[in-house]
Amino acid sequence: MNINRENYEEYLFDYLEGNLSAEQAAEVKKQIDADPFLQAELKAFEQTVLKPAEDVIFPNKEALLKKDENRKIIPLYYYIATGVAAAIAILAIVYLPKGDMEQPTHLATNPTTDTLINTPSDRSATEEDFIKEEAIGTETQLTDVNSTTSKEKDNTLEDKQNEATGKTPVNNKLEPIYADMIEYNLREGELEVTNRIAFILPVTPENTAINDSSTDDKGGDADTYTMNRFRLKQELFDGVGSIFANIKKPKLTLFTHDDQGNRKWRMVFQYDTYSAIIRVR
Amino acid sequence: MNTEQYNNCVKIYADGLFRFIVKNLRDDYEAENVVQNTFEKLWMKHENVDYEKAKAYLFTSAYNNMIDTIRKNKRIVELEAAKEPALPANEYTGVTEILNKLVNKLPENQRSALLLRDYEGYSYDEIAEITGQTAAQVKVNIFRARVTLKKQLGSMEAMI
Repeated sequence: MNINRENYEEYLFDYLEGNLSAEQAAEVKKQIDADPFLQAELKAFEQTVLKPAEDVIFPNKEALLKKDENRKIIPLYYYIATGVAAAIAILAIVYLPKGDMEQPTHLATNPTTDTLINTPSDRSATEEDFIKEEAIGTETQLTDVNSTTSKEKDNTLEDKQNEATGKTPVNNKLEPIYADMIEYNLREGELEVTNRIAFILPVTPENTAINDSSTDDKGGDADTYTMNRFRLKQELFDGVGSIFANIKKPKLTLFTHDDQGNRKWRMVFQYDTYSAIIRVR
Repeated sequence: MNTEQYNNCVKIYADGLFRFIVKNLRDDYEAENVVQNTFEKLWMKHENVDYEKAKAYLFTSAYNNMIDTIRKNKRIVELEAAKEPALPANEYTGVTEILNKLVNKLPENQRSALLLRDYEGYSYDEIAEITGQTAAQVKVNIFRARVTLKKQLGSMEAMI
């Protein structure tokens, strides 16, 4: 093997690329060590080796992931609807036998939170489905949006009549169900509700991408976040709110509040085709 | 390949695939499209693709998609290349940055072969399979790319 000024590039290239046998590589190395020109040329060749830019990453990897159709995933709304039904059943046991009575304070209809009950125009089909789920578990609940509206109208009229007569209003209207705290775990893209009485989120603004931010027709903010396989749509009405989340932690907790420190908004969680509404007092 | 294996492919290869494509196309949006299309194609055929061969499938598919994109945008790319100013030495902060600029100026076949070699550690045979060339052609392309870069880096460093 004779490396000269005519053929040195081929030898250095093969040496750099690992194309030589151990014996050939040792021979080339020997000649490089003995020749400063070859040493400089090898160094120059080594500089042509590209290093992957680790900071360049595909920005929307989660969108490429697919749901395993063979795995049984229990929809979030099932957990919530079940929890809601259980809560209503307990409340019914506690309060209903007393007949006409004052509305329990912790479920008192808040004029602000009343706005959280959507009009049909801004309610998606999946949200309606969830409302229907609630209705299945609780006969006192509304079966659809239109009936909500009509019942509320009736109640408003009734309230006025009661006010005029000095009677305590009968608690027969739809009560928004408030989930004070919702806690769930993200496990390999699967949403698992571990405790429905909990507060939702780690989602800090720094590590949560707001994919869509808009103002709805009520003047509230609506931010849509995409986290792993599910979308969290946060709708805030009549107040300034903030959202805190940390999607890097397996446990996801979320809470919101307005500028008065009151939590009075609704969140819609969408997980694939499933959807759930969580109203936070 | 099952769904879990497909999802593993996304987690393991999406970034590398994106780096390879974006370095060639120099357009994030186009590169994202190529990567998305490639994974969609893999998903459609995932039941017929072996998990062990998924990486080669992805890079081959992405490469072909990228070539189509380059051809489609050839006129635009040429116009942009014509507008690109010469490399003024005083703008650079290091060899890596100069190298990245110089790589962009390599012919596509040399650039792709070099990127697959250095970014992904592919053998000449594997690169040949992806790019549809022979292993000998791939080796020549990488050799020419390195010699060109070596000379240009040398001259740039001399200017600095």
